[in-house]
Amino acid sequence: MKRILGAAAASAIAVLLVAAPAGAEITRDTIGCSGTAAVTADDGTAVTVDAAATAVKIPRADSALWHGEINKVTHDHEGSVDLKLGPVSFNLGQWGPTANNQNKGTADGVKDIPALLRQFPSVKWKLTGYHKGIEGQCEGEMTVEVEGSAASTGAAAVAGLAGTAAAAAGLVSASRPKRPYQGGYGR
Amino acid sequence: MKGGRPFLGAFSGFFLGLFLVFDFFVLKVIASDSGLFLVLPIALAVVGLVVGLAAPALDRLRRN
Repeated sequence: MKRILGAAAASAIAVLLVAAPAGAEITRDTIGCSGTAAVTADDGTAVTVDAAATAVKIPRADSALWHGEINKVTHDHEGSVDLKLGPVSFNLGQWGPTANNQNKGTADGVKDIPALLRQFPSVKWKLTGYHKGIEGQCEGEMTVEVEGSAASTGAAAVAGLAGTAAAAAGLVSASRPKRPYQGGYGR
Repeated sequence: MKGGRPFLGAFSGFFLGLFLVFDFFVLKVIASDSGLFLVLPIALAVVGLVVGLAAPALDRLRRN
Protein backbone atom coordinates (compact mmCIF):
# COMPACT_ATOMS: atom_id res chain seq x y z
CA MET A 1 0.00 0.00 0.00
CA LYS A 2 2.64 2.47 -0.32
CA ARG A 3 5.54 3.92 -2.17
CA ILE A 4 6.23 7.14 -3.77
CA LEU A 5 8.82 9.50 -4.83
CA GLY A 6 11.49 7.75 -6.52
CA ALA A 7 13.94 10.22 -7.65
CA ALA A 8 14.07 13.82 -7.17
CA ALA A 9 11.36 14.76 -9.50
CA ALA A 10 9.07 12.00 -8.43
CA SER A 11 8.89 12.98 -4.85
CA ALA A 12 8.11 16.55 -5.58
CA ILE A 13 5.58 15.95 -8.31
CA ALA A 14 3.71 13.53 -6.14
CA VAL A 15 3.41 16.02 -3.38
CA LEU A 16 1.94 18.65 -5.59
CA LEU A 17 -0.64 16.57 -7.19
CA VAL A 18 -2.58 16.32 -4.08
CA ALA A 19 -3.22 18.54 -1.22
CA ALA A 20 -3.84 18.71 2.59
CA PRO A 21 -2.64 16.58 5.47
CA ALA A 22 -0.84 13.43 4.70
CA GLY A 23 2.02 11.11 5.37
CA ALA A 24 4.95 10.30 3.17
CA GLU A 25 7.28 7.40 3.25
CA ILE A 26 10.27 6.51 1.14
CA THR A 27 10.13 2.77 1.22
CA ARG A 28 13.34 2.13 -0.65
CA ASP A 29 16.28 4.40 -1.30
CA THR A 30 19.78 3.48 -2.43
CA ILE A 31 20.64 6.74 -4.19
CA GLY A 32 19.59 9.44 -1.73
CA CYS A 33 16.38 10.82 -3.19
CA SER A 34 14.86 14.03 -1.89
CA GLY A 35 12.47 16.64 -3.12
CA THR A 36 10.23 19.57 -2.32
CA ALA A 37 7.14 21.12 -3.78
CA ALA A 38 5.88 24.67 -3.35
CA VAL A 39 2.20 25.31 -3.81
CA THR A 40 0.62 28.75 -3.76
CA ALA A 41 -3.10 28.92 -3.05
CA ASP A 42 -5.47 31.36 -4.72
CA ASP A 43 -5.35 33.61 -1.67
CA GLY A 44 -1.57 33.84 -1.94
CA THR A 45 -0.74 31.43 0.86
CA ALA A 46 2.42 29.53 -0.05
CA VAL A 47 3.21 26.09 1.33
CA THR A 48 6.38 24.11 0.81
CA VAL A 49 6.24 20.37 1.26
CA ASP A 50 9.19 18.08 1.82
CA ALA A 51 8.87 14.75 0.09
CA ALA A 52 10.02 12.92 3.20
CA ALA A 53 7.71 14.76 5.60
CA THR A 54 5.38 12.67 7.71
CA ALA A 55 2.61 15.25 7.51
CA VAL A 56 1.94 17.75 4.76
CA LYS A 57 -0.74 20.27 4.08
CA ILE A 58 -1.17 21.69 0.63
CA PRO A 59 -3.78 24.21 -0.40
CA ARG A 60 -5.88 23.96 -3.51
CA ALA A 61 -3.93 25.42 -6.43
CA ASP A 62 -3.57 25.20 -10.18
CA SER A 63 0.08 24.25 -10.22
CA ALA A 64 3.10 23.59 -8.05
CA LEU A 65 6.78 24.33 -8.31
CA TRP A 66 8.82 21.22 -7.66
CA HIS A 67 12.46 20.41 -7.13
CA GLY A 68 14.09 17.03 -6.77
CA GLU A 69 17.57 15.65 -6.44
CA ILE A 70 19.55 12.50 -5.91
CA ASN A 71 22.85 12.16 -4.07
CA LYS A 72 24.14 9.47 -6.38
CA VAL A 73 23.74 10.37 -10.05
CA THR A 74 21.98 7.66 -12.01
CA HIS A 75 22.20 6.71 -15.66
CA ASP A 76 19.82 4.94 -18.00
CA HIS A 77 17.16 5.91 -15.53
CA GLU A 78 13.42 6.26 -15.53
CA GLY A 79 10.61 6.84 -13.11
CA SER A 80 6.98 7.75 -12.63
CA VAL A 81 4.38 8.98 -10.20
CA ASP A 82 0.97 7.36 -10.08
CA LEU A 83 -2.29 7.93 -8.27
CA LYS A 84 -3.97 4.81 -7.01
CA LEU A 85 -7.73 4.46 -6.94
CA GLY A 86 -8.72 1.00 -5.84
CA PRO A 87 -7.22 -1.53 -8.23
CA VAL A 88 -6.54 1.13 -10.87
CA SER A 89 -3.51 3.39 -11.21
CA PHE A 90 -3.50 6.72 -13.02
CA ASN A 91 -0.18 7.98 -14.25
CA LEU A 92 0.46 11.55 -13.18
CA GLY A 93 3.90 11.92 -14.66
CA GLN A 94 6.85 9.96 -15.89
CA TRP A 95 10.37 10.47 -17.15
CA GLY A 96 12.88 8.45 -19.06
CA PRO A 97 14.22 6.09 -19.95
CA THR A 98 17.11 8.40 -20.63
CA ALA A 99 20.87 7.90 -20.57
CA ASN A 100 21.60 11.07 -18.52
CA ASN A 101 24.95 11.66 -20.22
CA GLN A 102 25.07 15.12 -18.64
CA ASN A 103 25.26 13.48 -15.20
CA LYS A 104 22.42 15.59 -13.88
CA GLY A 105 21.50 14.98 -10.29
CA THR A 106 18.73 17.53 -9.90
CA ALA A 107 15.54 18.46 -11.67
CA ASP A 108 13.05 21.32 -11.39
CA GLY A 109 9.77 22.18 -12.99
CA VAL A 110 6.18 23.27 -12.70
CA LYS A 111 3.45 20.66 -12.51
CA ASP A 112 -0.16 21.46 -13.31
CA ILE A 113 -2.45 19.91 -10.75
CA PRO A 114 -5.17 17.89 -12.53
CA ALA A 115 -8.57 19.57 -12.52
CA LEU A 116 -10.17 16.38 -11.23
CA LEU A 117 -8.12 16.53 -8.05
CA ARG A 118 -8.83 20.20 -7.56
CA GLN A 119 -12.58 19.76 -7.91
CA PHE A 120 -12.87 16.62 -5.83
CA PRO A 121 -13.88 16.76 -2.16
CA SER A 122 -11.23 16.48 0.50
CA VAL A 123 -10.33 12.79 0.53
CA LYS A 124 -7.26 10.65 1.11
CA TRP A 125 -5.37 10.07 -2.13
CA LYS A 126 -2.55 7.59 -2.34
CA LEU A 127 0.38 8.44 -4.58
CA THR A 128 3.24 6.14 -5.38
CA GLY A 129 6.42 6.84 -7.24
CA TYR A 130 9.84 5.55 -8.12
CA HIS A 131 13.08 6.43 -9.83
CA LYS A 132 15.56 3.82 -10.89
CA GLY A 133 18.76 3.67 -12.85
CA ILE A 134 21.85 1.51 -13.18
CA GLU A 135 23.30 2.83 -9.92
CA GLY A 136 20.25 2.20 -7.79
CA GLN A 137 16.69 3.20 -7.13
CA CYS A 138 14.29 4.75 -4.71
CA GLU A 139 10.57 4.46 -4.30
CA GLY A 140 7.97 5.64 -1.90
CA GLU A 141 4.41 6.49 -1.24
CA MET A 142 2.38 9.34 0.05
CA THR A 143 -1.13 9.82 1.34
CA VAL A 144 -2.45 13.28 0.69
CA GLU A 145 -5.69 15.06 1.20
CA VAL A 146 -6.89 17.50 -1.37
CA GLU A 147 -8.21 20.54 0.39
CA GLY A 148 -11.86 20.45 -0.59
CA SER A 149 -14.74 22.82 -0.19
CA ALA A 150 -17.62 22.01 2.14
CA ALA A 151 -19.98 22.21 -0.82
CA SER A 152 -18.17 19.61 -2.91
CA THR A 153 -17.78 17.28 0.07
CA GLY A 154 -21.45 17.63 0.96
CA ALA A 155 -22.59 17.06 -2.61
CA ALA A 156 -20.43 13.94 -2.92
CA ALA A 157 -21.68 12.58 0.39
CA VAL A 158 -25.32 13.12 -0.58
CA ALA A 159 -24.79 11.50 -3.98
CA GLY A 160 -23.05 8.55 -2.35
CA LEU A 161 -25.78 8.07 0.24
CA ALA A 162 -28.52 8.32 -2.39
CA GLY A 163 -26.79 5.67 -4.47
CA THR A 164 -26.33 3.48 -1.42
CA ALA A 165 -30.01 3.76 -0.54
CA ALA A 166 -31.11 2.95 -4.10
CA ALA A 167 -28.82 -0.07 -4.30
CA ALA A 168 -29.97 -1.29 -0.88
CA ALA A 169 -33.58 -1.01 -2.04
CA GLY A 170 -32.70 -3.10 -5.08
CA LEU A 171 -31.12 -5.74 -2.87
CA VAL A 172 -34.21 -5.87 -0.63
CA SER A 173 -36.35 -6.23 -3.73
CA ALA A 174 -34.18 -9.09 -4.94
CA SER A 175 -34.73 -10.90 -1.65
CA ARG A 176 -38.45 -11.18 -2.42
CA PRO A 177 -39.65 -13.81 -4.87
CA LYS A 178 -41.39 -12.99 -8.10
CA ARG A 179 -45.15 -13.08 -7.72
CA PRO A 180 -47.21 -14.90 -10.31
CA TYR A 181 -49.42 -12.59 -12.33
CA GLN A 182 -52.72 -12.32 -10.51
CA GLY A 183 -54.43 -9.71 -12.59
CA GLY A 184 -56.59 -10.72 -15.48
CA TYR A 185 -58.47 -9.33 -18.33
CA GLY A 186 -61.99 -8.13 -17.88
CA ARG A 187 -61.74 -7.53 -14.15
CA MET B 1 -34.02 -21.54 -8.30
CA LYS B 2 -37.37 -20.65 -9.76
CA GLY B 3 -39.00 -17.41 -8.73
CA GLY B 4 -35.87 -15.58 -7.53
CA ARG B 5 -34.11 -12.51 -8.86
CA PRO B 6 -30.42 -13.42 -8.84
CA PHE B 7 -29.42 -10.89 -11.50
CA LEU B 8 -31.15 -8.04 -9.71
CA GLY B 9 -29.50 -9.21 -6.49
CA ALA B 10 -26.03 -9.34 -7.97
CA PHE B 11 -26.47 -5.99 -9.74
CA SER B 12 -27.81 -4.29 -6.62
CA GLY B 13 -25.17 -5.87 -4.42
CA PHE B 14 -22.37 -4.73 -6.71
CA PHE B 15 -23.58 -1.14 -6.72
CA LEU B 16 -24.29 -1.22 -3.00
CA GLY B 17 -20.65 -2.15 -2.47
CA LEU B 18 -19.48 0.49 -4.90
CA PHE B 19 -21.48 3.27 -3.26
CA LEU B 20 -20.53 2.14 0.24
CA VAL B 21 -16.86 2.30 -0.68
CA PHE B 22 -17.39 5.72 -2.22
CA ASP B 23 -19.07 6.87 1.01
CA PHE B 24 -16.15 5.58 3.06
CA PHE B 25 -13.75 7.33 0.68
CA VAL B 26 -15.54 10.66 0.89
CA LEU B 27 -15.75 10.37 4.68
CA LYS B 28 -11.96 9.71 4.73
CA VAL B 29 -12.42 6.33 6.38
CA ILE B 30 -10.32 4.73 3.65
CA ALA B 31 -7.63 5.99 1.29
CA SER B 32 -7.82 5.84 -2.48
CA ASP B 33 -5.68 2.70 -2.66
CA SER B 34 -7.85 0.65 -0.30
CA GLY B 35 -8.52 -2.93 -1.28
CA LEU B 36 -12.15 -2.38 -0.33
CA PHE B 37 -12.64 -0.70 -3.72
CA LEU B 38 -12.34 -4.14 -5.23
CA VAL B 39 -13.41 -6.46 -2.45
CA LEU B 40 -16.65 -4.87 -1.24
CA PRO B 41 -18.48 -4.61 -4.61
CA ILE B 42 -17.54 -8.18 -5.54
CA ALA B 43 -18.43 -9.55 -2.11
CA LEU B 44 -21.80 -7.81 -2.05
CA ALA B 45 -22.50 -8.87 -5.63
CA VAL B 46 -22.03 -12.48 -4.53
CA VAL B 47 -24.22 -11.87 -1.49
CA GLY B 48 -26.88 -10.31 -3.74
CA LEU B 49 -26.69 -13.24 -6.12
CA VAL B 50 -27.20 -15.70 -3.28
CA VAL B 51 -30.01 -13.63 -1.77
CA GLY B 52 -31.71 -13.45 -5.17
CA LEU B 53 -31.40 -17.19 -5.69
CA ALA B 54 -32.67 -17.93 -2.20
CA ALA B 55 -35.55 -15.46 -2.36
CA PRO B 56 -38.30 -18.13 -2.57
CA ALA B 57 -36.85 -20.00 0.40
CA LEU B 58 -36.48 -16.78 2.34
CA ASP B 59 -40.08 -15.98 1.58
CA ARG B 60 -41.20 -19.36 2.91
CA LEU B 61 -39.19 -18.75 6.08
CA ARG B 62 -40.82 -15.37 6.47
CA ARG B 63 -44.28 -16.86 6.18
CA ASN B 64 -43.66 -19.67 8.68
